[in-house]
Amino acid sequence: MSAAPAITARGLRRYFADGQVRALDGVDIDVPAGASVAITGASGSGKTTLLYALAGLLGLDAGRVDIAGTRPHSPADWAALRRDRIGLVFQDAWLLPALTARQNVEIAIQGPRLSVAARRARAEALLRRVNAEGFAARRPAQLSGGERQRVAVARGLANRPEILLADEPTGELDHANSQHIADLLFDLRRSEGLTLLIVTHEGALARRCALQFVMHDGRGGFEARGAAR
Amino acid sequence: MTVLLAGLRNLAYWQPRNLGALLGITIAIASLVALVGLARGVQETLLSALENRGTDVMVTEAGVLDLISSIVPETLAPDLAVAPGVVAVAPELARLTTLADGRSVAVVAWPAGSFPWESLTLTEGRLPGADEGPGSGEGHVVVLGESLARRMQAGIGDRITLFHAPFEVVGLVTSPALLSRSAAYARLEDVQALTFREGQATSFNIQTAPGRAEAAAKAIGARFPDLSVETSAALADGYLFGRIANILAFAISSVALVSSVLVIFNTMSTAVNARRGEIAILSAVGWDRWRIVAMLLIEGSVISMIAGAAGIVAGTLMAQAVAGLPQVVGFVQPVIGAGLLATAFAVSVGVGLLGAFVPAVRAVRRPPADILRGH
Repeated sequence: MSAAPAITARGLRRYFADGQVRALDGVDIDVPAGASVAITGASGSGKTTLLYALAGLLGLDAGRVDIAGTRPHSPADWAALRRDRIGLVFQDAWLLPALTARQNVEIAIQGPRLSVAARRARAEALLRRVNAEGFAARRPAQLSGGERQRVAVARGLANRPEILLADEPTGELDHANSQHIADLLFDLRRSEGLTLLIVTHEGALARRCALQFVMHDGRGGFEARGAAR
Repeated sequence: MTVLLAGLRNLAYWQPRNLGALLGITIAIASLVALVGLARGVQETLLSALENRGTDVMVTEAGVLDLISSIVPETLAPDLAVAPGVVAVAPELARLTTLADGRSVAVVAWPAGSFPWESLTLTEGRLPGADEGPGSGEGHVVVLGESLARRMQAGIGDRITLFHAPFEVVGLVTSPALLSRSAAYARLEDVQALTFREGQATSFNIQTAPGRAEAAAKAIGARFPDLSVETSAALADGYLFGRIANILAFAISSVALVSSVLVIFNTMSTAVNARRGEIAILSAVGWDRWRIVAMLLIEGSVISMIAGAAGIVAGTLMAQAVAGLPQVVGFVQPVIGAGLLATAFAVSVGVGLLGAFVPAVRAVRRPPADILRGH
């Protein structure tokens, strides 16, 4: 694990309903590069809001986020970070229904120097990496929940990110598929050297992470655990 | 994947949704083309009829709303003929009557051999002679405008009924004016007798020496202050029904344009708003705002262009169909020129793009989390 933090966030605050709902209420977090972190907590504690804030998907009322020493200031800065350094996996996959599995991965592969053929080859390689090559030509509606989630993981890796943020990646899956996706994420973390943040309410998945960041009523902190795996 | 490819793939996939947008815009553009074309047609038909009479000065009863309501004594003709610059005077009696099939037809009557007959171009048969008609022991004769003849399926030698009397068709004529092509023409004394208007006319057509129309109108107006005396050009400009047609055309065109703009904008906005989830995902995977907007504009422009072209075709067909209805045929010919078609296409594409642009910009400005989490 590198000593330089992959993510540093300070004083993250996000209120909803005119301040009645404090989804984030002054959260500080430092995520070491290459670490695996489970963000846990009860429903409504602010787990997903924190993840979205760290990905720049959320407008904050206060606070700042640095990604590998870079501080994004504008939506364009955040878009560039998500394009180059941050991969995202959502709970219900959020694949684009008009596109096939391969095209859903391809759409996240960006870079002006990449030819159409190169993009396609990379998308196919990513689908192979997550054992999804067999349904590359199918649309999301023709895939099971586990298959969709594998495609979503491949899409999250499209631009060789340093950080992968996953929001309840196994939340909608049965035990076997859940286990499979979890294995895949940790395998990728090891092989790609990713920093992995997973929002989860599943104890088993949380325990596989080196660090656990527990959210409670919009506030959070690391729980003392064993060494990072 | 390129922006263009993504846009085209979305178009191919979202067929029902895109068809809805396509249909909405097509209907809006078709309505615009048909309504404006018909409104302009009414205007053009009326003005063209006035401008193609071959008359320099018109004399009617003062203060009447329309030419058919006017009554002037035929005996004024000799007094009008001596006015300075006047070359010829012809009384005219114009009446509306009902055909056997229930449709209305305008019957215009002039003395046989008078100059207004020269405004018509004979395509078949002959014009009525001065020495024929009931007075000479023969029946009534009539000349039909070619549109009317086609509508009635009547030809030379056929007998038709006008004013409950039989008329023999002796000639077919044409004219640049639709109303003239859709009218029937008879001898003045025949129509006067059949409509109980002996000695009366609805107007006088006056032919003047070149460049003397205004002077003649001024002189006649001074001598007969109780009559309305106008040059044909002034009459066409100031004719009440012409003015009403102008106002109607402007009002209908404006309403059609505004409603088209609103329908297209709303249709396109709805189509884009329905895709906020996709927009949020594209943003989440690192597409910048303008790339997403460009993709939506590509989709919007393709839909708008196809719908615009389809709307123009549908609107033209609709206008022609309306003009061919039994109640309308012969009274209006839609005027759908290149200007109207270009305007309709520009409205479709321009408003379609604006309708896509505004909600697209609004959607990309929202933090993706708001959409992904349903806030």
